[in-house]
Amino acid sequence: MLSTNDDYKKYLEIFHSNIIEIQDLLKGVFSYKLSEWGGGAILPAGAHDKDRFMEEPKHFAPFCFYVREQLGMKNICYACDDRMAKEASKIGKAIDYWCDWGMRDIAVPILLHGVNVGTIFCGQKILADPGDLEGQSKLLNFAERNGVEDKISDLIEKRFQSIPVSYEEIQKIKRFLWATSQYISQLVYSQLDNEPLEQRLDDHKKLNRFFNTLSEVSNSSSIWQFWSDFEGILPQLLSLLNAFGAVILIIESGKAKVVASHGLEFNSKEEINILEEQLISAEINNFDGAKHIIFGKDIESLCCPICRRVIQNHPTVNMILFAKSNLINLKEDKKDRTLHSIVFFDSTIERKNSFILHEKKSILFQTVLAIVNLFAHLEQVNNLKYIIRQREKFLKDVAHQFRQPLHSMLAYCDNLISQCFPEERKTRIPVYLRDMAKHASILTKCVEYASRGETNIFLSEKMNPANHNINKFLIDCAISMQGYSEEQGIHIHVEDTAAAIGEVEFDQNKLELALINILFNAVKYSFPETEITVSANHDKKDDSLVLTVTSLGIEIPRDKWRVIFDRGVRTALARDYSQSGLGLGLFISREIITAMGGKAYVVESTFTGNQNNCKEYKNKIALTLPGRVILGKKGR
Amino acid sequence: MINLKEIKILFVDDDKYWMRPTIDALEVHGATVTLLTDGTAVLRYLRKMVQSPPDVLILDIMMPSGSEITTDDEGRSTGLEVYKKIRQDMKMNIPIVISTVVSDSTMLSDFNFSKDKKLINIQKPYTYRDLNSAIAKVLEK
Repeated sequence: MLSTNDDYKKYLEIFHSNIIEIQDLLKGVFSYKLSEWGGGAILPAGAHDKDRFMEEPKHFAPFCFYVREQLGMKNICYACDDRMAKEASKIGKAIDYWCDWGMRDIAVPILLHGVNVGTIFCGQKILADPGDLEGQSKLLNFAERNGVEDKISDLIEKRFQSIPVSYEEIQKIKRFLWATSQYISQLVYSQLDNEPLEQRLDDHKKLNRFFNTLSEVSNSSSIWQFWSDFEGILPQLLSLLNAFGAVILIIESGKAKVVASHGLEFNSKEEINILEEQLISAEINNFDGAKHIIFGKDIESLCCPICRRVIQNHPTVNMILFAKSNLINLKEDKKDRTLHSIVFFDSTIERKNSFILHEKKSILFQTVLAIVNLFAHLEQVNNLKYIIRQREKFLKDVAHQFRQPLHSMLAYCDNLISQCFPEERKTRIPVYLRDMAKHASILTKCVEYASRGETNIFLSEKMNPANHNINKFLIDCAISMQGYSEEQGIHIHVEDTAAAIGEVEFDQNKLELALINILFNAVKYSFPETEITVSANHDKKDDSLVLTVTSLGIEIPRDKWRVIFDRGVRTALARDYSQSGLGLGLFISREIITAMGGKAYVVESTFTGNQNNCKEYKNKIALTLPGRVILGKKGR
Repeated sequence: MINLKEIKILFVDDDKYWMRPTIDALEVHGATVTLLTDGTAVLRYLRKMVQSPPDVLILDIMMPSGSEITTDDEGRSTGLEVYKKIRQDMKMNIPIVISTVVSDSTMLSDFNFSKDKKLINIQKPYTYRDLNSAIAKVLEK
């Protein structure tokens, strides 16, 4: 309790200095969940006798404003809000009451150390409970005594009868606002701890935006943007949950170590140790971020041993919400780390001004559930953000990839027409034209792939297998790359092993596309004046054809050996070495080979030394096609 | 069209395969073309040739940066960084033609086209005539 008038004045001063931000917070709360109630208002202490509202009367109390101002009945209105504010602060509880006109109102005191510094008002509702005649009769009697029956009837019909509420609903809102009042008290208390005002104001604004935006989030595609704005206010959200009657236990992922708790007071270190032992004995180290919600004691349905332990040891727990958060910035520990949060509602935990949560579908539960859903979605949100960034990059890359060969074609045509083709290059014209046609074809296929879904389109395309001489096939592929490779100063060599194999059964067009993509990458990422080796081998175990492409150039990092065959993936080293590329060539190669029943993979990326201050690696990529080698033909 | 005979051109593009016909056209019309493929190579070349710099720099935007240039976007804005270093650090007023596939006005807005009279942009694909006109404009300014 306050000991001096100076303390009281100090609290009032702090409260008043934060009143605008607190109002904004309430606006956010009201707009989120109480919009259909027409909002509410906060009345600071000291204004009661002056009949002064912080909000414009017409916004806060439309009924009161209508009656007092528009109907001119100010003299017969007894300002019940003022009386009830005093009553609420006197008993230290939120109350609902009849106004003199038969409307149901709510008054919630904001208390600092037992002293009322302000009151939250909300309501102006007509009760619609069947059989509840008190309010309606009160209203009609009042109207009849003052000769305004018609006006009141008209008023009710037009403005208020469309939103009748039940007594039960009134109680829910009252509890909700009471928790909000406690939260406001905590905010003001923290001011006394000399927290920087700027930080506090910033948190207020974020929390307000949180509530304002929460109602707008309707699908996961927008949730990532929403959530990324509110990561920093998790401590405030946890405090709010605590004010609503939640006990929040935060343990470090995989270690069952209690990091912090909100609302659960431990009397000794031993109590914490006991709880940690219980958590450890649950024998679980990796939390998958699953969400558990239980009602009652349906322990058997729980798959999480930790939650089972909590229920077994806390028999009064009636609900558990389990969420995984990647980022919790606690006041006492600024480190970012993965924590496992358990939020549970315990009806018997005695805390000052607590209340009991019963219904599943209370507004409070919905709010908490929404918050917990956001926790659970955080990882999906981050993944979605990554995908969207990658898509943006891809679209830019596509423009780049198409414009370059288009420019080249245009320039060649231009040179031919204007006859400014160098003599020594004229014999290369067929090569260049063939290269460009092939490149355009590959690009078209790449973009077609990018626009399709996850299904391998080559699975649905008809394969046209036929017997082909593998050596001739490889040589033709190498020749088709000649223009491009020679420009980079790179020679493509086909090993003699191919000649020894003879005939192989495959769809020539598809395999050519797969191999050309591999060769394109090899040329692009090879160092100048090096050689690329293409070889074909027969794996006699299952008569597989194994094609390999070996080159000398930048490294393929070990942890990327699989993902470089995924759609749209380019390693950082690759991007740094060449801006060209969509990250689709290897993907298409893999899809084709997979559709043929084979595999595409990296065999090695071995460091061979330094060349011109660059680390050189020997890279080998293989395409394997089982059961394709024809026995009895040349070479066997 | 401007006569490119004896004009020294520094051509900077990492896609030298696709740019080959453009370079051929410049050389056939009498220009002396030096081809480089990353941002750091450009800076080193210009430092070496400070006494006799090229008459025109034809500069791509998206290319490898090399060791002397740092970009936040994996080399997508290397050309921009090169431009800044040439103008601000090296104080060279060499005429520059930005030759790029980029049409993103956000990225291009970082170049000082309105105030830099020796800077012009030409978007791929373009013909020799287009390039010649761009060179003519930037040399006249």
